[in-house]
Amino acid sequence: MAKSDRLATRLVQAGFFITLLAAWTIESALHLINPILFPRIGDVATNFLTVITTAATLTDIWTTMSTFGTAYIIAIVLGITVGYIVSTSRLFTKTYEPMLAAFYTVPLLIFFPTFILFFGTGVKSKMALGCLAAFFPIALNTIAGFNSVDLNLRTAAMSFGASRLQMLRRVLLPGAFPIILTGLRVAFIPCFASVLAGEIIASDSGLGHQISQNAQMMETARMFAYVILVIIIAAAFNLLLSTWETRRGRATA
Amino acid sequence: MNAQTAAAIEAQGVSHAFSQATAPLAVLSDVSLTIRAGEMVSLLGPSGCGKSTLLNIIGGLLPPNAGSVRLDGQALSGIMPHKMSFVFQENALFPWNTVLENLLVALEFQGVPPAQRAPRAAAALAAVHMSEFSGFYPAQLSGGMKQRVALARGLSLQTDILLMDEPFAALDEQTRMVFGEDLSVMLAETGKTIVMVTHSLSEAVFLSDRIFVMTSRPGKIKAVVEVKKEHPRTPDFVVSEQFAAIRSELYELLHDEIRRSVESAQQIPKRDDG
Repeated sequence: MAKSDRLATRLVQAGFFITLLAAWTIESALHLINPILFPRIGDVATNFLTVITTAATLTDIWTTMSTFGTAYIIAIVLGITVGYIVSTSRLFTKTYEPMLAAFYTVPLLIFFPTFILFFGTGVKSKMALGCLAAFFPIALNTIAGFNSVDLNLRTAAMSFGASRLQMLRRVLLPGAFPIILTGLRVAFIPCFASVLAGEIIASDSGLGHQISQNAQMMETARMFAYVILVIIIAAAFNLLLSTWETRRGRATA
Repeated sequence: MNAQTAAAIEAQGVSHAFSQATAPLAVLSDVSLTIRAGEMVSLLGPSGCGKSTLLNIIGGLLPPNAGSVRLDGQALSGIMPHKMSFVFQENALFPWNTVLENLLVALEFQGVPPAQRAPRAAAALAAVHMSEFSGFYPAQLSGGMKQRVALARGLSLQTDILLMDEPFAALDEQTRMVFGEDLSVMLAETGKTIVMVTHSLSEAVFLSDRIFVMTSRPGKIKAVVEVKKEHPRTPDFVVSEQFAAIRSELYELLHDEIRRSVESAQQIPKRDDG
């Protein structure tokens, strides 16, 4: 894409965002909607500043992000391991890949009550849900990634005497890496969403807990402040992952 | 390095078939051949005649359904990375590694101690005149350059036997000629035993001491044609009467086979250098 095109795209995107904010400002000034249902922009801004300057918010961010981080890392380890094992034989791939793909379509939130029974309303039940949500896209992309490695390259490595571990480290992982990385990025959203959903449904701490608490207490402006905070965190993380992905993609192209 | 008369590779009654949904597809039928140490031979045949399969069987990558291969008198039971190395087509270079890393990783696979890898890789790259491209990725090189790197990778492994699978397939006509001349010079110096799969008559004549002409699928050895001309060979050889005569002989041997292979496959072969 030409530089001027990219600039034009960015301008339109910024314009859309500004229009939304302007519409919200006008709505707030004219008192069109009951502020308990939809808060005024000024109130949300004030609340947002209060939220981000309160020390307790750090605890909430830490709770949510550490729960998410743990779930995500466990899912990466499990997903890549299971994906690798399944990809080692054509029979395994034929048998297990469709099963994993079928499971991926199940709305995994339905298992949350089970996790609460097992792990209680603390962070562990959210970890389990987030981990489950991230596992499937990571495992599926890992299988696709390993199977996409050119047979010529495997044959060459084999002919030079590569051991199983060398084959994995030097051929399969670098060959599959771009697709595995896509899996990690795709898995981020369901993982993060599941942790937040878990916190909103039943919890005693975290950003999701704050959102549901404030909603129940009709503190809509404060609730919106937390919503905006979550959006910022999610967008920043996603940007980080996609930047890494494109940079890796360019390096090996 | 090798006694001229010793048999380096002996294939005895090798047959192979690939399993597929309907009936097994027989690709090789009772192939026996002897390749002497230090000799350069070509396996020549129409597309799909099983010559690459035969090369993979000789190299221990594929166990044959029937028959056996002996290497220096010992039965072959799998790959022998210290005795035989493969030069694959240029698409078998690791795209995420630089030229130098492609050689280093092959040496690592072969089990060469770390301290020896860099000098051996550098020497092999120098031999194919690719030293200045050490830091380049394969995607940044032309087809001819990639093929040189693939050759250097095979050479760096310092095996007595070099197995080459259609090393010219991805090259254009002019690059082929130059690459062929360079190959003749280099291979003459190394004294290696070389087995090359090709479907190009000219390259087979230009580079080989003996040419095993194969039939259409299932492949059998139809004839063995000798090329009595010392290495290294120069472009003069290409325009000689001897070259033309051997080439015609090969063409006659292959003509019916190519037609049969085309008719049985109901397709045009990828390339039959004419």
